[in-house]
Amino acid sequence: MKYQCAIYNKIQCFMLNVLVLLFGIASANINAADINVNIYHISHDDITSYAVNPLLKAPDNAGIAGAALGIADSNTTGKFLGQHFTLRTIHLDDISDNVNSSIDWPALLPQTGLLLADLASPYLQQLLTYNASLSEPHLIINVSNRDNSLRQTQCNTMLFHTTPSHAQVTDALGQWLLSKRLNRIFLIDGDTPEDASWVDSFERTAKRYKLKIETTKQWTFATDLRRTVSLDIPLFTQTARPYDVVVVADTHQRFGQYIPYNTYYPRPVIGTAGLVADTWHPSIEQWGAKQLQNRFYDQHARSMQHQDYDAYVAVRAIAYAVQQTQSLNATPLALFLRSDAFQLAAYKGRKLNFRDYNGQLRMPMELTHPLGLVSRAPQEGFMHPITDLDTLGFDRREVCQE
Amino acid sequence: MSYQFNRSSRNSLSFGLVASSIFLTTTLLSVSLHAQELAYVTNEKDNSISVVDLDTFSVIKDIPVGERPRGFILNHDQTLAYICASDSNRIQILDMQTDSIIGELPSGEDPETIALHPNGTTIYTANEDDALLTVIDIPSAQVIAQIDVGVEPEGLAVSPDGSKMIVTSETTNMVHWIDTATNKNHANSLVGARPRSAMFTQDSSQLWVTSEIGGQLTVFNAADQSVMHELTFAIKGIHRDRIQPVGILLMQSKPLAFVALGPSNHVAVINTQTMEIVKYLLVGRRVWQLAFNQDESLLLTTNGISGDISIIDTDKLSTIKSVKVGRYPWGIAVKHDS
Repeated sequence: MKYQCAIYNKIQCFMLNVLVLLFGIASANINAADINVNIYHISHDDITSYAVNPLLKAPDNAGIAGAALGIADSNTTGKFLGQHFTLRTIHLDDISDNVNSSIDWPALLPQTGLLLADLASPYLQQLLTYNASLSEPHLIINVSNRDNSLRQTQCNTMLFHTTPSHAQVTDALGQWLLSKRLNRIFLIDGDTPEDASWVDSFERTAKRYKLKIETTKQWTFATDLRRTVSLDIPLFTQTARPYDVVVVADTHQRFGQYIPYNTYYPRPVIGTAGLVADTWHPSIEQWGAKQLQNRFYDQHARSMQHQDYDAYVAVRAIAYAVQQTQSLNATPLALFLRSDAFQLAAYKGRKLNFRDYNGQLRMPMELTHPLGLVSRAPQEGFMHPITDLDTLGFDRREVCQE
Repeated sequence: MSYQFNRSSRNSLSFGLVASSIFLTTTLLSVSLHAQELAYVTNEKDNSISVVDLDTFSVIKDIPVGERPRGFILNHDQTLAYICASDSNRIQILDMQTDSIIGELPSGEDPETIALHPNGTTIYTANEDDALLTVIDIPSAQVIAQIDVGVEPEGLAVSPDGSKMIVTSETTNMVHWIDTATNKNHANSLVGARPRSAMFTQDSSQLWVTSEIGGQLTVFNAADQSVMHELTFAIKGIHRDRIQPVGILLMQSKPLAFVALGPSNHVAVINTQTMEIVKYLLVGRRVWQLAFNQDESLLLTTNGISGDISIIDTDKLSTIKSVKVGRYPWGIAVKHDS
């Protein structure tokens, strides 16, 4: 029995064939050696959800449900290769009262492992600092944190992001605005730190695409919109000169959903409400997406959300790397993930790979309204010397520069 | 012709006999006028089949079928067609004389593609949602076997000598080799990301497989599953990510192979003796499956996004025509001159 390999991993393949010869492992299939792969999902209690509308509350198992499907898919594949994947969960104690209190990482984490981080910035920063101190570091895939600074200032080769940065999201929106010639913007800022980072990111986008933010107003929460929405919003969005579009930065879904159809001038609303840009939406069905949606629904009895997709892709990326390298060690896997040989088919109609300079997954963004797909970024005509996907988010020269 | 009916469906025997005798009469009457070849195209989003007359290059008929029709094949004497009605979870049987649905086969859930064994009585279908290959006996309309395969099984091929069949799995990135005598999966080969279509050469010695996201064509030696050739494609002015090989068709009359390249909107022409790419032909948007007419003078392509089929002259190797069909045309087969 000779191990068959059609692609890239010629060296590993050769080594595996040597192993097969040495140990006389013969089998009808290509599973030369059985391996067990543990993937650890690390999370903490949700930072307070402000969402007042039940339609906007994330499911309790948002994210991890996608990881579970990724494990199931990887095991269907793995049975032909003697690879078995298991999802293990690590739950952190709440440190939100004192973000400086340190977490006992050695006690929580395996010796060296494959980690999916579903963590807010204070936790993730601690984990990254700890990981940098290890001689055999963990492979960490950030599956939920969209903070731009993680992509600009963290260039550790063991860190990856399958969730997009705010910059990828706001650039996707900016390209759409430009393609629709909606240049004059009324921007509404929520008042949380997360909203502030979103606004920063949008301002960067506006500068890149020469979009004019004519008015920025901070939402005050001086009212209960569920009662007075049709009175308060027109007043709040009244300006002397008409704008083309209203952009809402309300990452916690506290008021943004009340803006559409109530603006002083009848204009589209985009941002975190109205038209949004994200990795996934239950209405997506192209490029085989329908099969993924069906499998997800069968496993979890709900629609697949973007948090689920981001975690699903992380598991599939690890599984693909294990399939191709036959390795279990974090370092060679990380090396493979950043290489040109890595190519992930992830229901986007083109191969996805990681930016070698900051570990961010390159991917098209889906622009959707609450019930369906509107458009897709990158928009036609936005060009880049490497790939048009790099018109979204940070380019090489914007990352880890002194 | 009626023998085939007899084997496939007892109930339709008398009907089939009547239908074929009527057809025979009309054919005899019209044969002196001109011979007619018809292309049948399944429209995934319209739940219909468009019938295209290859003399006039126009749609002459729409046949309503089950939901989300995709894979479409003819039996060997072209009396019957088998249609994967994916969202109806069944394979429908179309009588090619009357263009009406005369029966169905149990298919398992979400059948996407089908392949017929040379014996004419065994049909294989890939159940995309359940990671299964279903083997169906046509005369008894019974499922003989279900074989576990990788995630999202898609491309099917049966070797012309009938001994082997393979299924590709899109998300597992594998070719699963199955012995048709035992219905057992005996070998698996890794290929580039998202393998879609597969085809054996006429002498059953080679298997050709396309990887849509990997952008590759892999040619296997079917005897020992070793890789003989790997090909990638490059079209000037089109980013390599958009060059996504899908449908494959090997020509019998010339040493040429055609590979549909998806959203690059081109079909590659390969010289099978030198394994060199001879030419890229521009066709409609998101080109998908391929079919020849009887003498292989025409190659037809289904183009999903533009909702049409392109017609290629295989002598001149140029696209000569496109014909609007339904929404998201998927499968295609040509009914020959009668």
